[in-house]
Amino acid sequence: MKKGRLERFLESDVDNILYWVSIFVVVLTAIIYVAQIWFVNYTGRYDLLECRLKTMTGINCPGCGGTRALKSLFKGDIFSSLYYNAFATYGAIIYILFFVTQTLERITKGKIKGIKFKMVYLWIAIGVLVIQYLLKFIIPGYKI
Amino acid sequence: MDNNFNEEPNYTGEVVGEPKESGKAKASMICGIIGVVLCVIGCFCCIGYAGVPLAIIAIVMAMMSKNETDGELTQQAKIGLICGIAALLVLVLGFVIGFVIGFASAFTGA
Repeated sequence: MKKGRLERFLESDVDNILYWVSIFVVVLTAIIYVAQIWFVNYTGRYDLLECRLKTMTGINCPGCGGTRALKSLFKGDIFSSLYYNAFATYGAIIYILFFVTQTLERITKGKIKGIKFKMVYLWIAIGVLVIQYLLKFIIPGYKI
Repeated sequence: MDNNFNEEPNYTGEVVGEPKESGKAKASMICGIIGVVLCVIGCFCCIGYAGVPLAIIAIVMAMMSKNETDGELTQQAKIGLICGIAALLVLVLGFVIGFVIGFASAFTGA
């Protein structure tokens, strides 16, 4: 019996599943983010975009500076990006490399090999998240 | 004699060895771990909500991987399932705490 497209997708290798899942999640997040910005601009409730932890306690959360880090990265200012949030910078670079090479592999029908996802990338990401968060407390004058 | 039971042929002529790694189970584990990290951040920041679809995908993939392994969850699928559920619980807990603090501050006029 001929298998459906979804069944073939689910039986494919982990990189193919992650490639399509990541596209779905990134597009969904972008749509929610744009809708959120539109809602905030429409209602004037700019406080909704602020970090709740920072608003209530004055302490940065691990994700603080993430949006500024991504903006700096897309402008090409990698040092500012690392300064604001190294986790967001690392995650974005790894994802862009994974996405671009995997897309090229599909376009060139395997002539260019895409990056395979390795668990070590994930452990490094968690390490970077913890270290950059601790550094923001340890280094005096590290304000974002 | 090198007697390797893992590679002994069975009656159908297939080689019985280590079970093939399930893409669904591994994808579930990866999505679950990323989901937990993003949901913890998502308790405070808006962009962390990207963890919600990842957590749901992790749970769905873990449950679907059961079909390949005769109804049993592999180690990777178990990690994916636990991380997916934990991610959603963390986010719900964050919402409840935020709601309680907001409600309390409204009453006290802070």
